[in-house]
Amino acid sequence: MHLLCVGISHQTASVELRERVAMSPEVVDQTLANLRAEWPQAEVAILSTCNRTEFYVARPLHGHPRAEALSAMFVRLSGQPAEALAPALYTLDNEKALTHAMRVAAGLDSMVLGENQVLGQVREAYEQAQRRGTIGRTLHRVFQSTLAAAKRVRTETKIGEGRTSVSSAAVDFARHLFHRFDDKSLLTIGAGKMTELTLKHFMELGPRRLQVCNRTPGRAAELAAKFGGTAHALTELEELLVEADLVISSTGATEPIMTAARFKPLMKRRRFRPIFVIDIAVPRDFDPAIGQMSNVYLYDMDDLQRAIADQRELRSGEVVRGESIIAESVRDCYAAIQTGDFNELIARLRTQLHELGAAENQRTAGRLRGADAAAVQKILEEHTHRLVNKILHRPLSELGRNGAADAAMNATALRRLFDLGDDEDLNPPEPNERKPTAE
Amino acid sequence: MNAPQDWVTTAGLIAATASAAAACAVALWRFKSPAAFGPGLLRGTTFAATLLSAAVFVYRALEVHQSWAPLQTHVDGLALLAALLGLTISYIQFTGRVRGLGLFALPTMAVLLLWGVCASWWTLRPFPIASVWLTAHLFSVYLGTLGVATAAAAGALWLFVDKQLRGKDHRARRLQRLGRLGDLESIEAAITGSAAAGFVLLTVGLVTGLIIVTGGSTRLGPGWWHSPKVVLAAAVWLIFAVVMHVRFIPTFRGRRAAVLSIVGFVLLIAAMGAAQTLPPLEMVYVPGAAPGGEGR
Repeated sequence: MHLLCVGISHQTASVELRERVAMSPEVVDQTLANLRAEWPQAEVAILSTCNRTEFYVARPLHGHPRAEALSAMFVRLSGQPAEALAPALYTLDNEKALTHAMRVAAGLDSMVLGENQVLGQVREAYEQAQRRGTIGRTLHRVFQSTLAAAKRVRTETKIGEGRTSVSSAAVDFARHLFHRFDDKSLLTIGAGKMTELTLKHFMELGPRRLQVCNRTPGRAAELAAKFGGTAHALTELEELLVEADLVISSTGATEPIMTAARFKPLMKRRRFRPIFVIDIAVPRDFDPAIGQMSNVYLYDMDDLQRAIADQRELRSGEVVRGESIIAESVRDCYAAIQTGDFNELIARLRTQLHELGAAENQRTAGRLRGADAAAVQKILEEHTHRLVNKILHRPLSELGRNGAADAAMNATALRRLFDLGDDEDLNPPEPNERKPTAE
Repeated sequence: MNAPQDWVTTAGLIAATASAAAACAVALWRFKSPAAFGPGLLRGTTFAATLLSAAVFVYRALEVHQSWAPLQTHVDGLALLAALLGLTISYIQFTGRVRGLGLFALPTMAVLLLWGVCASWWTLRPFPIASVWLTAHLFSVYLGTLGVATAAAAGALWLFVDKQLRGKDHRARRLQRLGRLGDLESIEAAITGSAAAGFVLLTVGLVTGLIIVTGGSTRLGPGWWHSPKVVLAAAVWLIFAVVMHVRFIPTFRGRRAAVLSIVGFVLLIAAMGAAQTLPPLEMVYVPGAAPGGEGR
């Protein structure tokens, strides 16, 4: 099987572009189903987070989908011309794809080095693909090895120690703005996992009041009850924003829920009190133009991640250790994939040869009926001759098809596999040909 | 030169200026690389500058003027101002709430002391202390200037922190540095607090100034109300009337309050400069009243 990874990430694309290609779980489900229908032989998993959207594919060596087909999907998702998207897209195959998957899961490719949220996201991508039936033997092994390698990196190195979360960075920003929080009102827009995670950090500051605003009232009430706040419907958002001092926004909306034009009159109603907004949604919930307004401090995911990105320098030793664990895991996993492929290949070869032999046996048995002893010998010789010819027909006709270089390689393989004599190269260097020597 | 110079005053002010300049350098260095120095060096140099300024002020009162009214020249006022500003900075260094204020207040202190050096040697001119009103006026103006200078330093700090927070280069080390300056809420509180104190004192200064220029032996002739000093003082008073009320005037919150506090300070310095350098207005002769001096 051929492993392929095609995607874009924070390393190659701006937050705007990442927003365009980000997929909700429902869209991932639908895309997996479509890919399954189009290329039933391929195994596919999709990892879509705020920092990356990546397709992991295992397909027969000369099968489909090809990288171009997957790139075309990104073009469709982003609505950008292929030329514009090309610099942001990367394609990795085999060991490189495997290494990338492991680095992502271990947090080595994250903007926040060593962050652990991505491990859960990789696991979710794997489980979602399993539920849709798009994971086969190869990707199963890839994801199992990836998750195991990521765990090893986290337990055997100190890559995840210290401040590695976006939530803690958000709290730091808030401290630069406000001195005390017991007179501040905290508002969350959305009630998802990420909101809850960030809220945990902010509640440690001891805000006077918490208001949870969500499209689904049930979830808002649940989160509000957990942290001792009040639940509100999304229709009350403007009123809530007038009152709030700190805002955490993380909805799944595909368009900004708050535009600059809508926010401007709210600032007047707030009497221009400073407001701190953490927009951790991708796509973003707050129009970036709002951040230009006086007394509005708006930070998105990129800002927060940049704030802790230079931890990389401080942990360079841990990175080296993590990379070496990953290199070892990639070797083992790729060898296992190849061994699995060989075993399958050998089994298919055996089946094919046994089928050939059975067909020839049937044919020879028919001819042997009533034949005399002298004829039997001739029939058996013909049987053997035909069988050998049939077995060798395909390999021999393919032997020199792709030029001299392939022919030489195939000939060497033949010699080794069938013990046909010496291992000499078919094209030994001329006697007068010498390697260049240093002057 | 307008009066005999006192070399002890000038030498003391030069030493204080050097200490304040050294404190500025240390504060800047510590901001950029906090591991380079402990807080002791910064506190030491600030304290030295403060102590020297205070010593000059006390020396002049006891030795030079030998009077109950110590503010008899502009040098005395500048030395008092620098000493009080130094005390404010030292207090902030110990309490640690708006620690970055020193970064902007220390250069202000150094400039005031340098001005003091000039005023002690080249432009020394005694105030005509003709009444208790003038002493009250001088004290309220110089103490008011302390509030205004603190508000201006806090305003500059607010603008700096705001710019850093709005910038998109939020690297961890840079944010750590920013954390050592103070949060915007505390800085804004420092602006409004010191502006309010400055405003009250400047109001006293303005009222006493009006009393001086409109009555008694120091009464000025027609047109006094549009002299540069009076116009600048009125402008400063108006600006700080706005700044101290920023909490109640929403549109002046944040950036505008910070900018106004700096503009107000610059205008106040201009007013002081005008009072020292421009020729005085003609006084009206009042029969039987004691003759007045030449300064305002």
